[in-house]
Amino acid sequence: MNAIPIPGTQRSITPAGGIVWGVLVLLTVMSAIVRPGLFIDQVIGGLVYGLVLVLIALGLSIVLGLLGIVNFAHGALFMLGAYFTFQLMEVWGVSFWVTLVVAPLGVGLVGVAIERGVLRHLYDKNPLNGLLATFGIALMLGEATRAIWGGTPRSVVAPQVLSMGFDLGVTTVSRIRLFTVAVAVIVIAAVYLLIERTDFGLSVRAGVLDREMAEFLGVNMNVRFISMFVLGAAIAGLGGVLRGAAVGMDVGMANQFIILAFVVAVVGGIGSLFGSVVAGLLIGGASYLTPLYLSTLAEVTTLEFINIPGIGGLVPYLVMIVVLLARPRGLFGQEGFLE
Amino acid sequence: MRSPTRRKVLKTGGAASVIAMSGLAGCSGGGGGDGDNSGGDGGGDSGTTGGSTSQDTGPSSFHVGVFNPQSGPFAPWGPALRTGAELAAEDLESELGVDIEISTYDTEVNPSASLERMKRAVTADGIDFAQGALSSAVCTKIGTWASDNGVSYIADGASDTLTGSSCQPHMFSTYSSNTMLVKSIGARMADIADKWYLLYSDYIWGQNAQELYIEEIEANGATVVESEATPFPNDDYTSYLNNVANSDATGLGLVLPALDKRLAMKQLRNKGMHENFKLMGHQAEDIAFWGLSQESAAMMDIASTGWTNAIDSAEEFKMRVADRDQNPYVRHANAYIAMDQQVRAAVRAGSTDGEAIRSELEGHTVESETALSIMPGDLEWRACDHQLVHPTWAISGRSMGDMQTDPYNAWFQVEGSSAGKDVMRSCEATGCSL
Repeated sequence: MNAIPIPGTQRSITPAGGIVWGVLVLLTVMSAIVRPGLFIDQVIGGLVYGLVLVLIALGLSIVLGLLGIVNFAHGALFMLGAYFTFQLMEVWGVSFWVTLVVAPLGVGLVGVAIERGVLRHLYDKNPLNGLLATFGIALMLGEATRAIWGGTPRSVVAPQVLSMGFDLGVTTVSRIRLFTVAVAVIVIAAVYLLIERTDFGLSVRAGVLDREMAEFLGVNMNVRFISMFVLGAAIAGLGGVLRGAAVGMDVGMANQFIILAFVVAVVGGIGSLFGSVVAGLLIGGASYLTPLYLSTLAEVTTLEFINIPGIGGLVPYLVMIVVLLARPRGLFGQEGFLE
Repeated sequence: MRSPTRRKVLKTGGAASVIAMSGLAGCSGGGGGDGDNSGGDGGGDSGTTGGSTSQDTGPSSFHVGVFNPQSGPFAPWGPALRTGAELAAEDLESELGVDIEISTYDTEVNPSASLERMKRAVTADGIDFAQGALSSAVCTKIGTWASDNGVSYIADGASDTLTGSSCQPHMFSTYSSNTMLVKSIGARMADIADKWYLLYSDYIWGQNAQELYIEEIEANGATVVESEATPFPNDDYTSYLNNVANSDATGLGLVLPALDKRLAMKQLRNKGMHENFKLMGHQAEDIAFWGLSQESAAMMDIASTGWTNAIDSAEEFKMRVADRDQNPYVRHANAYIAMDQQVRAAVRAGSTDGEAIRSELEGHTVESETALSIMPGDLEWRACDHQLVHPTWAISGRSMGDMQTDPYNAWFQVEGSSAGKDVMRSCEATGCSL
């Protein structure tokens, strides 16, 4: 992975950009003044939600960025993590803490099968091939899940220590969500260190840039590509474990999150780990704050039409549109990648 | 209303298309796609069963299209719609000596795809009549086309528009309308909390229901401090729960489809907010809560439903559902009644033609003992809007110690019931002109 570019640092703000920033600051100040309690709730809630999105999107970003595979099965791997949690905790009576390790490893093994069985034949091919193949795998995993665990939603009982809310003083956040944030931060840091600060990561990045040359120098790229796919799958599985423990699982959860994960990866810039983190936080924050901004503005101006019902669900896509209009490669996208 | 002639033309054209396509593709038959046949043999002669039988002898075999979600967010509901129909078919075959063939079609949550499947079901597979589908948008789409082409259809969607502005001559509805459900608990809501915050799914069903709740709650002396739209499907309710926490509401009404209701309740509990609010669930279907812990299901203070397995009857029916590794809930009952009523109407009419079935169902008081054993009370097909008039129930979560898990889940208790005629809107208020 290349060094992280920080966009815009050398550029001055355009008049249009200045107006946008000015409006955002004004709305933020107005909302903080008019509804201080709710504003704090939504800022913290948005950051937490953003990190949850990052955890879900991280594995996708790794596979997309390093292997060039548009992994449409990522959502299904996320779902498998949740159903493995059900199998381990509810059927076999394994504790949550053991499940937290074992379930992602199980999903990682599924990842090995996918990589060896299908994807290794698709490296250096048109990305569309990988997308179609993984889409098919996603359908197969979805139906297999339905066949094994049934279509009825399932749930597990999370440990008592993760139940209920945690009082942060200014707001209450559920403990399982805070735990998810902690796990996300650890995983992000670990992945960053692995890819940027180890010889292994260096060799993977070298192989991505020029596989033939890396193999000529004695690097076993097969092992590295398998490892990275397994890592991506395991992180998806980890996200599934935490989501399953928090709110339960159903066969629709794969589709529900795969689109959001792609939005995060695209907004962050395909191939950029750091971009995914920023995009997740941006989308999380925007999803929570935009409805508040609009309702506050409607209240202050008495123009009720500004308070658009259900706008929260559109925000991730609006953010994506705005970002791609301004930066077609996403916030931290690399030139030439998948072009 | 259309003449049967048009339907025959459609069937003929469809059959020709299928033959042509089979020839081109080298296929050897079958409905193709996701049409799935089961049940009795039913003669199996597409396009000639039932509908073309003379009235002298009447039809003795029926081909019924059961539309159910097999993929997408409503997929967990699919098996109940099929099972209920199959159980009714078994009973009808035994009682009336008829043959019933069931073909199922995936509706996803996609009106356009469902419409294509309805067209194929009628023109290529030759179904005599249809039932099912959950999403009101899907029901409207396929019901309108079916009705335009003289095919009888009983919907299982809940929006008032199905028996209101979108009503159709040959479309009937078993599911409790939003009005029926709202009226069955509106007064109770006002009793347990005086300030309500409503979260509703931002599509036709949710929009319609939240308007009715506001009207009903305020008519009973309480207030709605806020009614907020949420996307459907939604993956996170925390931001909306923050809004609720920062309001002065004492009651929270969840006018959300089942899976979203489950998610919102779980996140409500995770945040520890559940003890601060009285909780209402609109159109509570037990299946949504089986994905929750019993602890979470016990949080429900009041909920509305068109049928519950907590009623003191239909034990045999509940056990037959349980024997199929399913937990009985309202969709099983509705699917059973739809099959029971449509087949009986066709037998009485001596025809499967949509107009003939319509004539038999409109104003018909249900006398079927099996149907009445499942849904006790006065059942009648109202002529003005084609809604099945039936009782509704107010339920609440049992305490965890009282929850039954074997042989099937029964986690709720009956708080009260209302006769269908007491909770129906007037014919004039429906906006339906049949």
